[in-house]
Amino acid sequence: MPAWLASVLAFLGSLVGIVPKPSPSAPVPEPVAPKAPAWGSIDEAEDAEARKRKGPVA
Amino acid sequence: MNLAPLLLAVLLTACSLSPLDAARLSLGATVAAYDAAEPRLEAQRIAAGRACLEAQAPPSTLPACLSEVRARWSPVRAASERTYRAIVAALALLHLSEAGAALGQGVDVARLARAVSLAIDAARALEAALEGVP
Repeated sequence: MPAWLASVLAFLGSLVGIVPKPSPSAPVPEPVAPKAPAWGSIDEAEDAEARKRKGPVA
Repeated sequence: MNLAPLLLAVLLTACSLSPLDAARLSLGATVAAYDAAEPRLEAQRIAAGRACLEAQAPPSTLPACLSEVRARWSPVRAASERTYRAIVAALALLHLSEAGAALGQGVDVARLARAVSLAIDAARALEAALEGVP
């Protein structure tokens, strides 16, 4: 088999996982946990603002 | 929320990636999409509540106005919190799998794939919930 053909087949094979990749791949980065949602604190802030606007109960 | 990175991650899983690398890519894309969408959603929710607080109506109407805003946004809030929990659970399982692999144990690929797909499904459900908010 010609050398160029072997290279092409190795590359195509790496795309379907049959043979190892012709070049080393970069390591896949570790995903970081997302920031926790703050929906509860939004409601609390609104309630505090609403109490301030209503004023003291006579 | 842009799901193109999720589709790319799924495609890349077919291209000779280890299960752990595929999970990292898929979860990374899901986290990136969630991190991009969540601040905008919370800003819109804050703006909706502020419209009630700054309205010229009497203060006695404030509770009803805020209740209406919260009811309108409750599907989005529930979907967002569900997505966060699913992502955190999938990440915990990924870290557990990585630790096991480092100790020479096998990776429960099916369980890891299910956890990742649950996180992706939760993110899709959040995108669908956004369509119900004017």
